[in-house]
Amino acid sequence: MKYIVLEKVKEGMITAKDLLSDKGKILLKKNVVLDEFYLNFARKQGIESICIKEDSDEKIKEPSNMEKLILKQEVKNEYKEMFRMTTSDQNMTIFLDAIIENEVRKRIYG
Amino acid sequence: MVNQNKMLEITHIIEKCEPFLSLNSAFIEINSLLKNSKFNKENGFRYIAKDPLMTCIVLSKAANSVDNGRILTLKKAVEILGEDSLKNIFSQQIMQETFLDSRKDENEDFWLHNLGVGIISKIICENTIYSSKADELYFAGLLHDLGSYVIKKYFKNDYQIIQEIVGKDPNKRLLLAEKKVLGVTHQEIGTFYATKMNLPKSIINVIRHHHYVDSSMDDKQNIAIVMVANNLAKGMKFGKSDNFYLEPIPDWVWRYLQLDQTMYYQIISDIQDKFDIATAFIK
Repeated sequence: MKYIVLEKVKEGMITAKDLLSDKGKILLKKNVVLDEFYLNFARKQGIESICIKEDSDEKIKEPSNMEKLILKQEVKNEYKEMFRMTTSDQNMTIFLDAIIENEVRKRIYG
Repeated sequence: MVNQNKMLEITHIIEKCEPFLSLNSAFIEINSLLKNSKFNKENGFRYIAKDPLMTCIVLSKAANSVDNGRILTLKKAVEILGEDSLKNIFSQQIMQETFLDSRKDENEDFWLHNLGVGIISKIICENTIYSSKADELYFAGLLHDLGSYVIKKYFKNDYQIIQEIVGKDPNKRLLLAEKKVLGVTHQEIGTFYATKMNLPKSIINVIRHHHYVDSSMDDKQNIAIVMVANNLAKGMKFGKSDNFYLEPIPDWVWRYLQLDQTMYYQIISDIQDKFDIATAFIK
């Protein structure tokens, strides 16, 4: 999946994520095939870019739990030094876990 | 030891300096809109709002054109100036003059860091009871490192020396290195410049105290949010800051923000989405 600026989104492309308004309201569900009507609607809503499915999305192999665990540990090690001065901060520690989770997801699914 | 002459040189340069721009994807986009006669208030706003220096210039020009000075929001500033003035400000001539000796790659990472801090500040704010200030916080976050832009532009050699000091020993804090070389930090230099540019006081306070929230008497809440956002932008590797390490956040900041810890995963996911949306135009 990939975010594409609205001007470059073409009819026939498929949304890879729910399209949300600034206030978090769902404007378009994921897996919708975009046509002229939807694109006009997005323009009227002032949408900047849309997350679009790519061919390569289908080819992503879901890693095993063990592979995920190893990847997570690798990412954790990479972040250890940067977060060195905030280890006693409970809030930053939870944020770090969330950031690691996000990074793992990015590396698997792009 | 920095001598008195150095301090005088810095204040003199900032007093005399003209508004300047930095080459990055947002400015290239504005330039392309202008070149193709597609620039209008709406799409212009979209890209100006992504860049600290363009935002600073628009806020400053708008403030200078009204009696009581200091405009708080970019939207208001854009309204005051109008389309033609905006076109003039960001004309191709400016790009040619400003960028003859600069390369986009040198500035892109730092710009992305600033954009990231703006986006995160807004999202954090939206998750607190102070959500009505979200737009103001976006611009405070976007502009927080204004002083580093001034150092990069007007004190190139000193900037290199500071980078070498911090690069050789990451334990050396950026602020200490800046003090050693320049006698002042990017927070103070940013404050001089933002004051000269007539930026709103609440933004100036963020620029001045974003590494040490406890040193400020005013706008502590805004500074606290930008401080947390600065940490998260570094942690999420949005662009590159001049300072590698995350900074300790005072306990009272978390008590003040009252963020729901069970929402942290969702907040990080939202931040990633908004950042991807905002940077989708980059070629």
